[in-house]
Amino acid sequence: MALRLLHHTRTAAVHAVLILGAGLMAYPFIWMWRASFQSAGEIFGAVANPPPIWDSIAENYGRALFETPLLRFMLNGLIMTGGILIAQVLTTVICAFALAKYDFRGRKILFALVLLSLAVPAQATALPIFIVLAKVGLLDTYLSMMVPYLTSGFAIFLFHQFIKSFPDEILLAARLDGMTEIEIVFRIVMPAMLPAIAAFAIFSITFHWNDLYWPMIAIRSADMAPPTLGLLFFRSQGGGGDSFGPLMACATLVTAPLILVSLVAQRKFVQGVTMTGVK
Amino acid sequence: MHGHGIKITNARKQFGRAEILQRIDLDIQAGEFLTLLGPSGCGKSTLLRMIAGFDQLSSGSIQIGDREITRLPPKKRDVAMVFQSYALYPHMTVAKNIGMPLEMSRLSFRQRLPGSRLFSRQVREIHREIAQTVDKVAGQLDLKPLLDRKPAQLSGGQRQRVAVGRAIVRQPSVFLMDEPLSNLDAKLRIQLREEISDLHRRTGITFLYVTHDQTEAMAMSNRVAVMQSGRIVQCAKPQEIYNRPSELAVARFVGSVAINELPVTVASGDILLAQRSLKLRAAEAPNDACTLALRPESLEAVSHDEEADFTLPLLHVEFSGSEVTLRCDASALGTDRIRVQMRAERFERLRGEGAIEDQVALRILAQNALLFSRTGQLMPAQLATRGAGR
Amino acid sequence: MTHTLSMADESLAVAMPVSKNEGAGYKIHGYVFSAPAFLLLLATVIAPIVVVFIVSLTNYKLGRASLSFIGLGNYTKLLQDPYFWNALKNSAIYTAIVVPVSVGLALIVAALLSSRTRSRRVYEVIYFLPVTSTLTAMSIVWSYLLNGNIGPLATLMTSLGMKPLDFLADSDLALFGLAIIGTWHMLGFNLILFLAGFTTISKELTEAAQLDGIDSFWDRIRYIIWPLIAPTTIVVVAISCIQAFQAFDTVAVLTNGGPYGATEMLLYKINQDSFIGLKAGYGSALTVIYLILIGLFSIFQVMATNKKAHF
Repeated sequence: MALRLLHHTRTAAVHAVLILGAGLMAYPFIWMWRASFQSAGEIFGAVANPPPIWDSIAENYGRALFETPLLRFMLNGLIMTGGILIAQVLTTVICAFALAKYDFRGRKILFALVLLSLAVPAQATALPIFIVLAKVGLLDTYLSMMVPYLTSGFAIFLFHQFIKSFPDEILLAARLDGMTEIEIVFRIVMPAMLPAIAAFAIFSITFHWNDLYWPMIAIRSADMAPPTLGLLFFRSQGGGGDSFGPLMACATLVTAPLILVSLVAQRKFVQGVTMTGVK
Repeated sequence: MHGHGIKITNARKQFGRAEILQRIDLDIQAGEFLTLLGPSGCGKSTLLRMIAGFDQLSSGSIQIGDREITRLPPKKRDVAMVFQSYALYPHMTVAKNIGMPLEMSRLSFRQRLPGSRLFSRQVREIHREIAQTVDKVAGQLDLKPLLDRKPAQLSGGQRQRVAVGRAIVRQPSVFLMDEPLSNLDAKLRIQLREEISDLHRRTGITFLYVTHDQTEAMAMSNRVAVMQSGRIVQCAKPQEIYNRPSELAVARFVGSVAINELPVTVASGDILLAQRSLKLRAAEAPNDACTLALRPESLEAVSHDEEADFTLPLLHVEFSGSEVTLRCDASALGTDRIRVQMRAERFERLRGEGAIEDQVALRILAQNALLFSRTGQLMPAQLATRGAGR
Repeated sequence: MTHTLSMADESLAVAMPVSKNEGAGYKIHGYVFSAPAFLLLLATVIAPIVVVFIVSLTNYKLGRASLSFIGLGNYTKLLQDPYFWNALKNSAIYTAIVVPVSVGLALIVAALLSSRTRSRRVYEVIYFLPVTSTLTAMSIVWSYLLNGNIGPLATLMTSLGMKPLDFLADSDLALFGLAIIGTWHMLGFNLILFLAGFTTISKELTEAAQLDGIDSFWDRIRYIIWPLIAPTTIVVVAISCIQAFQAFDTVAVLTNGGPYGATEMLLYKINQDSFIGLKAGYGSALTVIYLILIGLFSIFQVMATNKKAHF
């Protein structure tokens, strides 16, 4: 009996610590959401007659959506992350397949190159790419946002590990059935590795949706800005107490897609975002 | 459907300095069921892969029917294959798996692109035909209720059957099977063994079957080619492989109970075992040290009043239904163990007579005894019981 | 004599590289399939790195047409540049705070969480929120949370009778302010890595340990948990160091390196010198330093991961 009581108190203590931590982790979000639901004065101090909450929400989100180019920023972000993802998957899957299943001269050098690229942070290559883009006049375009990320050494490495363990006999069977090599990649191997692709997709989308460094370099006009850069434009324009509610509404909307995905597909998401850790 | 013969001439394969296949000559008749039997690494799977076209010969040629196929890619060889792991496409349904070879052969690359079904009536028509054929094959193999499942949802036996379905759907002239039963449990293996034999009889296709399991080879084949060290040691009917193995290695490999080997010396036609002359003669054999190999049923336990070749201490009695296997200590004869097999009734009778207690008297049956030379070759010399010879 | 034969049988089992050999017939496919990724890697990773090395040896300025080689001039200048040392120092301090705190807290939370079964999912989601969220947006939120005049932290401190701290405006505190945000942002990531590490400690193993007499809390940590979790910890530390050295978003959004350079970290300085100051040559020299540092951490990480794989 006493043992059980001890067990229960211990469990309760553990939960108390965990809840405290969770509260600290979640507090900025809660504060942001609350601020986006309130009128400007409310959040920093008592206002005598706060307007009804629905009015504040309509006001903040209405202004965020229709008086700022937020929708445009989000669309830009969508095009950028989508374009990057498609290019990455297309180039890396076939390359990983070649590395894993074909024997050709230079295979080892290519693989070494892939491993080397894992150690190179994207910021280090920014300047030369910027110079070239400026020379050919491609700055401030969707293409310029995607250029540094059209392929991914990390994806090649990851998919290579996966395809290596894919049974050779299935490839032989497919060849016997008369499939061409490109069909083997897209009809047999790719569907089988969808879980790995999904995990990588989440990793890639998260990284590029949240990236600020490269858009800050490649993009100059607000029209082309992805959400991260757009938020900075927006803040530098308004910034005053008046636009505080809409600013929080914008922040809520920019963070919303990834948070929603992480709630719906939590396992996959954790797997995808932490992939760098298990490589 | 009708099978074609396969003719392999002087086939060799090297990987670097290792010679995996050395001068293989094999003539497989149309409609025959031939098994390549051998231990792992003997080159049997390599040979099969050469015939399928996954790998090129270093030299030599392969013909299927009248066609020279040595340099053709796999899909042009008109062969089908069942793999050890079945190699089913994991993300496709059973119906899709079985239909894939047809889709590949009947639709052009352009017609196979996604969405082509929407635009072309012809493509839709072909897909309908394929579905019908798949349905028919599935009916033959009792797969109809499973057509919409994925491979992961099937049992091992069902997967095996799907793999067979995918292979026969395009009516090949040659059917290759690479250890297709080795991933199944014993009971299922025997059942599927029968199904494959039935399939062979029904279709009349040439079957080339690879296995390391000699019971499988014996049970199913018209002929068995025993492979060892990258060459075919003997190619003959199962009975002949069992009764007249051309080499000691073959004799060892074949048979569910290990063959007994006795070190003997031949001296002017007499066979000496442990300095004692056996009641066995090999009149034409040269004088030399040899191995006398005896199948467990070539030794007979005899009662006290009968003449015996030797008497050995009995170690263990093993019952397996209708057969009984005795294990005797043969250290007196210069070898380790001797195994003797007999019918259960005979064992009971002899034990009742007191002939089998802690000692057992054994007699060699001359007609099944085998004599191998020092280098392991079967000696052509006839063996006969001494009395009968005179 | 018969034995020689049976030995020969076994020596036949020559292992052969099945898949490799089968791949040999597909050289062309190998080249064609790997070409797009290979060329892109060359163009966007390898060539730029080479260019950075070359440019770091010149006095090139963005927008200028001419350049001349000045050897290691940029590097000697760099060693005498107090702003460089300041940036490096700030990065080091930031890393020295964020890494131990976020790794330590993550380890504690993971230990507490690994024994929970039903509630684990919920906690995981909440602790993971900051990792997935857009740091740029959340930095704006943090700028209010840490604000010394209007933020909730200031309100809390005032109500406790303390003088409120203005984290981001005070040059003594600004780096700590960023470190708080950095810790908050990285903790969940490290937590997940640790939880994956904890799965290697199976229930059977703990039970076996109990039978062997390892049953007190501290013994369990000393003999079971720590030896099994230490390799994971090293990997987590390496990854955290890389991430901490890459801190940029919070600086760019909140402090712009200020006040008075108090929060100017390495990557931010590279960005400023290269793209705002247009000193491409000098910026490239800084980039080379940055690349070497990150490369060292990466090698460390790979070595730690390989060591872990031997378990």
